[in-house]
Amino acid sequence: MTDDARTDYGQLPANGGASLGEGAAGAREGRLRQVLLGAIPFVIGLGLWELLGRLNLESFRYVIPTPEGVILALLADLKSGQMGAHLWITMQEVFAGLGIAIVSAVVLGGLIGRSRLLEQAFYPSIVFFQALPKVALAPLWLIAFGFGLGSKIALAAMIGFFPLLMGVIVGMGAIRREEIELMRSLKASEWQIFTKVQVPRAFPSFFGGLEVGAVFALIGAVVGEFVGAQGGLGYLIDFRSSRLDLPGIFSALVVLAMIGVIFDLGFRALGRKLMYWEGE
Amino acid sequence: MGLDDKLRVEGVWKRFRGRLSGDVLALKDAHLSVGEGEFVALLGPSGCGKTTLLRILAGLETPSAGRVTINGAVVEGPSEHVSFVFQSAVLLPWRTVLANVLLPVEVRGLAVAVWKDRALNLLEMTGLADFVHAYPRELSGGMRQRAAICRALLLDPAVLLMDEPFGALDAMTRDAMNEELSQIWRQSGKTIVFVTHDISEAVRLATRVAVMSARPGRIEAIVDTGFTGAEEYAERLRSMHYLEKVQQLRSMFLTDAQTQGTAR
Repeated sequence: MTDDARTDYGQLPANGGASLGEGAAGAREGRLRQVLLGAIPFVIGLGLWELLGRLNLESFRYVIPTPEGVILALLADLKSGQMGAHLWITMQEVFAGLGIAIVSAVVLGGLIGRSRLLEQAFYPSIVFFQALPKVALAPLWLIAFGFGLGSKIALAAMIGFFPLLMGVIVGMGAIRREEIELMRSLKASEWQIFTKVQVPRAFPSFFGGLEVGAVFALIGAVVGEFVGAQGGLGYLIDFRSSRLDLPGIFSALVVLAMIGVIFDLGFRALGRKLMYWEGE
Repeated sequence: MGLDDKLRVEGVWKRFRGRLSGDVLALKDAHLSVGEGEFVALLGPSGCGKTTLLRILAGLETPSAGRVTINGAVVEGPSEHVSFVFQSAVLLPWRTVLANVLLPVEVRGLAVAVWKDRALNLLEMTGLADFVHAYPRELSGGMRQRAAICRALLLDPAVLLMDEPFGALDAMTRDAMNEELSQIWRQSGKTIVFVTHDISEAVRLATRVAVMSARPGRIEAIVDTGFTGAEEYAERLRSMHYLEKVQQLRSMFLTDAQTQGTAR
């Protein structure tokens, strides 16, 4: 089925260059449309928010600040360097945690993907730990690694680990039977099959795991900071909420949301670059 | 045939262990010898074991009984004298056409620089000169299969084993590919075993046709097409003899189907 579709796609190679050019222009138009359409709910949301703030209703006063208040708070945070300092702490935790998660997921996932025996041995415990709500371990990490970066890195790594592991395991199985046979018919070694076919084939799925894992690691770091920390965006939110500093909380939330968006865009762009060969 | 047979199949049986339905006898007591430079087609309906036989020749499958020899040596696994062409092109999508064709060189640990010229020559010969640096997804189905054939020919193997290589192509592309393959065969003098379920394709290409039938898979007869490769492909298709051979093979399959019908 998919083979037929692929064949059809390739039926116009003579003007392949031209049609690819058209495709790029079409993609640009599509992206512009996506941006415009995507902006509509955002703008409506901002409008409603502003409206709620101006109405100054009793029940909302201590829950939602005005957009204006948030912007002022954010500017003040940026100016004082406070936001930068907390952001730096959180980013250290996220990237250290993500790094640990990537290395362990690649090693464990790679082994499991290569060996039926290891898969059978490890799968039940993986399912067990995946079912466990990892945030529940935050207090435990605090005891083990203290109030510094360590406990947050541990939590970020642990939460980011599972989507990555799944990405690696699924990716290891993405190699096609006929590709294995081709390599075998060329007298390729197991190592050559692994490096020349299995690893590139695993890439799309690994990247899917990475996109999710990065966001999860961010969640882990922030939750870790809630539980007990001396700095970081989660700490900042927690600290300000104890003082009912609503614009201050939202200022940190806006920064967190921006990180999420940058992660998403960054990984997607990187994925497109590395997997130029993927898709139609 | 004599001692100079390139390829011999001696009493090969293949039984697959079924999980639910019990064992399946895929191949029953197959005998075949293929001389150097011959083009033999394995022809039959699906389930007749033709692909299984080809895979055993390639060393991708081991026979349950009997043996297969190439150049007198028993086949125990994939051999460097043999290239296999699959039903689909199996090009690696992250490699350019050239890098795909050079894959066997890389896998064997040979010097890419030495073989690159030959790869380029082959690609030019098969009309892919403009697509050397293209990626597989930019190629049509026929072009992909051409690239796969270039890859199979690169290290100049003595034997080419082809498993319905044009089965997924449309009829016109298929005809063009048949002609190209015929030309490659006549120029290179390679020994080719070609699996197909298309009677006319078998007669268009082969010097001999092994007629196979299903349940259990077996070789019913080996039919000489009367063509040697001395004639041009177009010449072959124009001849009355070609039509007669297609008719003869067709009637063999018809009676086969009828007897099976009455038996049931």
